[in-house]
Amino acid sequence: MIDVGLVATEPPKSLRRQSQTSALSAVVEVARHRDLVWALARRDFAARYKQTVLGVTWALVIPLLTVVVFGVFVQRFARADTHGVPYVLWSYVGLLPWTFFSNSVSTGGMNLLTNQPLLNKIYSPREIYPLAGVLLAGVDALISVIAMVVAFVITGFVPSGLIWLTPLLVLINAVFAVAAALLVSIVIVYVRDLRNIIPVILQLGLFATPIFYSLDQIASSSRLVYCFCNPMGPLIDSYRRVILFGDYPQWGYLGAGAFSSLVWLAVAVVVFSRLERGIVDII
Amino acid sequence: MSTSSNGTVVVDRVWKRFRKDRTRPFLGDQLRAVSRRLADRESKHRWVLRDIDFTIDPGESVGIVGSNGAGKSTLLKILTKVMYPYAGSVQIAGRVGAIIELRGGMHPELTGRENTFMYGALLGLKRSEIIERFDTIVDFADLSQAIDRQMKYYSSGMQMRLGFAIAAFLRPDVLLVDEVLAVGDAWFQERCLDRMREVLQEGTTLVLVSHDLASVEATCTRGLWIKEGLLVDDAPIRDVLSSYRQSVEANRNRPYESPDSVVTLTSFKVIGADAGIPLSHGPLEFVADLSAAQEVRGRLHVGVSEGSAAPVFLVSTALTLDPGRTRMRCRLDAVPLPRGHYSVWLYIESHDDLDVIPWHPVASFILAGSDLDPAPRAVVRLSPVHVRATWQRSDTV
Repeated sequence: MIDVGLVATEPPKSLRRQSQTSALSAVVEVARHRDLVWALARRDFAARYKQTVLGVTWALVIPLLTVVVFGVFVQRFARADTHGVPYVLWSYVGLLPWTFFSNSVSTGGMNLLTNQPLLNKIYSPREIYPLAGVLLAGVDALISVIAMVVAFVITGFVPSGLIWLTPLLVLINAVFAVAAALLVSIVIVYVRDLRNIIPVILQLGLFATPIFYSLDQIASSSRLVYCFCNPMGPLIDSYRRVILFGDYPQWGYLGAGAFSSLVWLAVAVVVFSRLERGIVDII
Repeated sequence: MSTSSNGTVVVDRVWKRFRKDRTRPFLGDQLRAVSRRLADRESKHRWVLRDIDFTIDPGESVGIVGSNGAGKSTLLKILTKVMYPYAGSVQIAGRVGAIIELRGGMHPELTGRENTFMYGALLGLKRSEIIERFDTIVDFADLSQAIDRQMKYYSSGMQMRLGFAIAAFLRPDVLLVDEVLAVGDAWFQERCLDRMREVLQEGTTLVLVSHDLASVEATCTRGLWIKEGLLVDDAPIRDVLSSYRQSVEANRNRPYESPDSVVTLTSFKVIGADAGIPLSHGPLEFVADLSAAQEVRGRLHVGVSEGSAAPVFLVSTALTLDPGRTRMRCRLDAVPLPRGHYSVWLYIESHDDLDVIPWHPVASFILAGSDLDPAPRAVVRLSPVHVRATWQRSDTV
């Protein structure tokens, strides 16, 4: 038998956080487990269409229907200056990136809670759960691109020659989506109230972002601040410019959005790796 | 990281605390909780593990025992890295595999095949490794008919079998097992034990947490006893189990009165040959003194166990109690038990199937004599015994 009478009631200070993890090592861990991000996203994608008649075809049907709704119905009531671009393309080019972002936050942000039985049994870097949500939203967005191509073909509109700049915008868009998903997913574990308010915030964001209007409609004096606060604003404006109008992005505004996205990502990675240590205790 | 070889587990002065239980989800309760915390900061937490410190060498098999809530599962969660210690550190060299209650993590909408790939990936297997082992896993879980069926149509046994099979073919350096050896039917249990033996022979370090002391004894060579968050014993498994069993029953030996005070057990004695210490294969006598408030007709059961509620053997007889005191004597001609520390449990039922005195421990005794022959590794001995007994009843004490 071991004499336990000598064990203190509190651990000595020197033992605290003996093996502190840094945010950098967390990034390395995620990179090592990137297969898992794919596996989780694949699982959720497959599960969504189980026992449906159309199966995976649904993934394409929904964006096609959206295009039809915008092209046939919404168009009649819309009063936006589209610079001569067919309304369906103008609105869809704005809606698609927003949908990607919104899905990233709503699925990626919930993924720690929904995968609770896994993450309190098996070790893996916890970042993979929100990242899988973003990846799944990305796959949906890619499928929506097919619907967009269909819309281009039907309207006979030819995309501008500056379309090659799109990957840069997608990158910034993804950085912001990852930052938001990481942050929401970890904070929601501690403050469950967020689960109720996030859908409302996303709904508000849909109208606070120039999707059904253009960025020019925001007062030019506060536009830079706006772009910093909501990177989706300059992003959607830039998508329209490079895909539809053949203009270069407004670099100042886009830069503000990109800078803001990077700041958010840094904050999210640090906050996540701090808070992640305690989630199994309370989840 | 230490430079020690694969399979070493170093637990260095680990402490863990939890928040006190949460309040109801109303704003008022939360605010009151906050104000209480401001008044007394330290009452926020309770310690579940305090200064746990041990090292396991490669190839060792270690059983962790302790009563419910002692901190065993928390320790295992810290070993799997799912939970972080508050202070101290854990270092494990090599690949860690864990066999834990796996059903919760399976996705009900996906097929067994899809879940196998998902699960294998989570447990750290590469896709190619899963493909290579897929047939073995399915075969082991005996699910070749059902592998393309959705998980929600599996029986709970099928789900557990698949979970165990995936984990069993991980080939880790350290295998952590929590209370899952009793998975599936007898046939599957046998395969699990075979697999455990193979894993041990491959030199895997094993850490087993279980309340099934017989299987811990059969599988492990070293024992750790966790009591109220403290590591109180770290010794060869037999020694740890014998002190653990003694402490379990030390809490329980007390005279018992039936809830309605109809029958009271005033004393219970265990007597060996010539009133000396009982011997293996020697005679043994139980003497129970009972006092009854009214006439009771029923049955008396007496069982001998190694400390737990599951007896090694039972003897019983018809019982008639008149108002007043009654002594029941039971003589066993030869006790077919090995040397050790045993407890005696007693139960009295009435004719209408009511518990007069529920099954509970009433005495303990030490038996001298020979040891059992050692069982093969990982074979769980359930000790079935048949005992000849002679009963005698007298109305005077």
